[in-house]
Amino acid sequence: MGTYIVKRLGQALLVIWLAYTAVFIAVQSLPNDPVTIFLSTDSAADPATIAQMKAYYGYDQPLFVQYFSQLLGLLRGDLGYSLSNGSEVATRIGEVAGSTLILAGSAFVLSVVFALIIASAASLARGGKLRKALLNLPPLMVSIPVFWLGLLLLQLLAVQLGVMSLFPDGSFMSLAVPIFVLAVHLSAPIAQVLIKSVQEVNRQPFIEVLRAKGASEAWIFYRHTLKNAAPAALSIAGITIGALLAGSVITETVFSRAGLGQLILQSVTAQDIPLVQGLVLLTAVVFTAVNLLVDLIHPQLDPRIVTSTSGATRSLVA
Amino acid sequence: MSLITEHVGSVDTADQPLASTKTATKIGNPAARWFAAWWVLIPLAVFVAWAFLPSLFTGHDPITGVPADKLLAPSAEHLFGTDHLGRDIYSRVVYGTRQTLLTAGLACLVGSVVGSILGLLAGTAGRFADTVAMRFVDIVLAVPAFLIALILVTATEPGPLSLGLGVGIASIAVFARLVRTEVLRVRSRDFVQAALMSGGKYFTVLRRHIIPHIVGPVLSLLAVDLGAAILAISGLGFLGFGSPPPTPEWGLLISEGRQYLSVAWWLTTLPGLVIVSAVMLTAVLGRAINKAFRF
Amino acid sequence: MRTAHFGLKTTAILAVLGLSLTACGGNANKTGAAQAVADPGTPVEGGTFTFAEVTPINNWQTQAARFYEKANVLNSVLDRLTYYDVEAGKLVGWIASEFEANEDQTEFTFTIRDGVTFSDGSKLDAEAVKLNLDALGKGIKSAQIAPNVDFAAYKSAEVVGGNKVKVTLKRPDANFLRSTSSVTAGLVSPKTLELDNAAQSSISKIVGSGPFVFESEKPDEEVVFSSRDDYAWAPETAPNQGDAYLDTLVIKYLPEVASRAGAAQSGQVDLVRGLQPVDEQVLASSGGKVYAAEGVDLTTNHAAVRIGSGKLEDVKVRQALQVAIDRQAIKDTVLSDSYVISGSILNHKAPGFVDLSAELAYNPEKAKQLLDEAGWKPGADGIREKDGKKLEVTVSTSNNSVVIKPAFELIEQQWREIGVQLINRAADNTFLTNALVDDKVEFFGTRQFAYGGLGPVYAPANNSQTLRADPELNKLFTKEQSATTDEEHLKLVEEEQRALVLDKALTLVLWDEVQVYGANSSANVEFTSGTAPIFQGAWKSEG
Repeated sequence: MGTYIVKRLGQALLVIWLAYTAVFIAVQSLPNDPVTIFLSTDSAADPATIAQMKAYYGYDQPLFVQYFSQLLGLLRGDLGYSLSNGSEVATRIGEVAGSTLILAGSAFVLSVVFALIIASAASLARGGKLRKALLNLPPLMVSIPVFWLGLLLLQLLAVQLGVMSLFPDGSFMSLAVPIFVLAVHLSAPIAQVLIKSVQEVNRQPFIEVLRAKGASEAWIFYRHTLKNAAPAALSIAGITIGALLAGSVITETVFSRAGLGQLILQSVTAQDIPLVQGLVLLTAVVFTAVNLLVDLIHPQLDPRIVTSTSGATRSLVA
Repeated sequence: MSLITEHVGSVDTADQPLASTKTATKIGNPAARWFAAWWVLIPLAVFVAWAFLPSLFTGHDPITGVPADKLLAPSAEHLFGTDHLGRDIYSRVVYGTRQTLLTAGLACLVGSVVGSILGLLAGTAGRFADTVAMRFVDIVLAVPAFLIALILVTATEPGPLSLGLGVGIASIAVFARLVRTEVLRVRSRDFVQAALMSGGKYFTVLRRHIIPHIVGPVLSLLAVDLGAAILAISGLGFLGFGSPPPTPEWGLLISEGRQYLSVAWWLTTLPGLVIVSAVMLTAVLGRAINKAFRF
Repeated sequence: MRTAHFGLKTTAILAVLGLSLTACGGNANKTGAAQAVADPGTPVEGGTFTFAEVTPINNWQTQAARFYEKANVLNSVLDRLTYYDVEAGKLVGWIASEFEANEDQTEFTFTIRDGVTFSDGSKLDAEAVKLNLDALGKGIKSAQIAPNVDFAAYKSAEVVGGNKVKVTLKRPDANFLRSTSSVTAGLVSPKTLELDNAAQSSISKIVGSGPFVFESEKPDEEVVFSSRDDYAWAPETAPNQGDAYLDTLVIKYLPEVASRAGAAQSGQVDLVRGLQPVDEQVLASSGGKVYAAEGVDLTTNHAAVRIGSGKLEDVKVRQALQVAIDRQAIKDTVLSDSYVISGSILNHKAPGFVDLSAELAYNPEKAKQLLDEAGWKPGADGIREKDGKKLEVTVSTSNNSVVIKPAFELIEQQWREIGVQLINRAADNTFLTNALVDDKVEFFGTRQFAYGGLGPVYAPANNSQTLRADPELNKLFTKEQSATTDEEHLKLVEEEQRALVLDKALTLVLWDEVQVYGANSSANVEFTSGTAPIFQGAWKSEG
């Protein structure tokens, strides 16, 4: 187990480093260098100032020098300076990360709740019609564009009915509605995986044995089926990180919330390259860490998986 | 965003195996049976027809409006109403299908082809290839999909090519993982083991024994991925990374209409419903394919 | 949200004075059918006023305040040497109680008002003004801050006689005085000038002498300012000569256009910028107020022409496009009565404005003829071609204006009729980031602050409009800037407009700059000549 953890940790670091490098190369393809853009915003900047700025931020250096000095900075925990307002990248990210964490974290919890409700209702429902309707809920939920649902709810609740603030003012509705919008989209795949693994568990002989012994359906479901189906749903958590972030960009835009999503959008629009790279690093670390965690917890929940190391989470993607 | 949709569609939601056998036995007529499984192709065919022959479905000009008719509510004359320049929204939706399907189609093509090749390599070309391909997939997943698309669109110009490519790269990972899993499953079967042991050529084994078995899941995922790509592209359009006007495109129609949401609900709501139904249909199609290829 | 002011409904001693001045001083921004009639009530002391801007601000560096979202807020935080009074049509005293220029327009003397302090307690005296002027004229190297473009002629400043500052220019500049009224020439505490770039970009660190002082912020969500009780140095002609009526000013952001009218109507905000034309009637008829703040300090909305792609190199092509815009149709379709069609590159109320509307009249036949003469012949698809190149041009604008994109959508339709294809990248900020400095993007849809002549906007070799200098125009700008009498100066400003709009057609003018604000029925506010809300004079009605 120990070597397994070390090996997975090493792989995770490798993935993070490669992702960072890939983005460093990718941003070089952006059509203009950030300093010129920074200075040319709506007023004429003189070439001497541009040259001075470039030297100050190190953009006059050859690419590989820039790359290694950035990497070196990283090791010291220095992410560089945001070009759009001169403050440190780490500060900029720190300012808004909490807001996204609340939004995304709550949305994740809520989506798990939704998924559990849908999966248990679908599994326990009597009557084909209701069951069928419940089974069709996840595909419907995932087909609704997040921004569309958000815009319509905002217009209805905040503008037409006036029961919600248009701003993130800390009130219940102003937080609950964005969380709900995000959770609707997010809960679909979790519900789906849960339903599928519940069906698989249901086909296991021991469930039949329990039934034969006269255990109630609900008892079987909560006591055995769900417990055995949970690991599968857990493994999708890693995948939802990316979706959460993408969803956050849109939710934050619709509801005028500050957050990492907004920051990503701003940084790409302004071609604030140090900020883009800082954000990529953050998302790569979070994504890799969550997946690592899932991989490590997974065997604890389901001892059968220990041997098939790297395929564990992946096989469930299908 | 796309990842999540792919996930949903690719999992079979039907009440298996009980319900499916039930429906199959209930309906004896072959035509009815076909319809029960494949009705989804009919509405999808309408969308395809919109893309190829838009003028058959609407008499209005999608890009030149009549200013005097601006912001009209839906009526018999204008099914979906008109926009701020007096353009017929229904005709913009119909004409927008081509751009939407083209972009989403390209995204699927990129995702499925590159992803499948990676998956095949990972599953068949040895441990080293497996590790390399799967770490590559991890990297793609570690960078948020939409960030890849944003950078690509910013670096070039927004159009079917850059949007399709940007969104497509994001779905490489899902295809690669799916194909790899399926390959591993097929490989473990006796007949494939036997074919490999008996010294069968790599490509022959691949062609005869492996590829036929992964076609179903890949096709099924492809259908779902199309829906996911439509959603992802419309999301990018909403964030301001879509094709420039007057190009009609489904996502852009919503984001252009959102400005007038308080006075003209139809501009955003109706094209939105078209997107929801199209994406739903691709999910249903994915399920139907999955069922058909079940073995 | 509006609970804060209930306990503070006391009428100020100054109210009567304020009322009488409001009534006669008024404000120029009262045109347009949708315009709500300002309620001439008595200003009420106290309350929290919430203003929603269209986009979050993450760089507050004062000299970069050429964007509304910054200028609108900084206007109430920073004072300037002078103030441009639209009603009087002239510059009046502010922090400089008196100001004068020598005949050559190369030396200017400002007499600094006594008793003015920054909010950190330090004195706003002649020495502080000199330090500010140096920063504006020469930039701040250590903080990577570039000089202010309006101060291009600046050479030096010295303190004379204790309370006077004498500015010397490298060359004559008849517009220099007026540019000291710009928000971008806002005066900050000398300590602020010593900060590094990041600190000078942060609203929490910028110390001014204005009526509102920074209190707190939530990044990308809101900034809170509180009124400065000892403020007593408003511009000479301001209706309110004392501190602000309001206690607290809250700045929020409302990027969703569709929500703005509702926000103002419901009172979630007191004032919101960027009300779109279709919502003006909605808001006005549901009890809200619509304020159209005219941008007298700004050029009209226009498409600045870049000739880098070669397609617009021939002046005839540019002139053709100028008359191929049906401005009335734009107004009727995507604008409202709050908007006035351009008669030139300058605002109708700007000093020196010349009315060119007859020459700008919509004339597609003339446009086609001019294009034919220039050698652009209709191709198979209807789009004109020359030497195998299609007459396909691109426009870029920021997404902060609510009407610019629909306007260009309509222009795209109008130009299609004369065989010109417009690629409309309006409101695409990502594209704009690059287009700003790319002279192959033919049009930049914008409006610029212009304090007098158009030299600062068009003369620099890398000016943001045309991205190149025109020697003939620059000669004209120099001549105008050295004008020694007002009459001569205005005449030369007229000449500049003719050259830019007609002879060279380097700008396709559209409509006079106006910022339409939506307000709650209880909000009372006026605006500067730069369309910024004057929060120092704003107040909320009881109820």
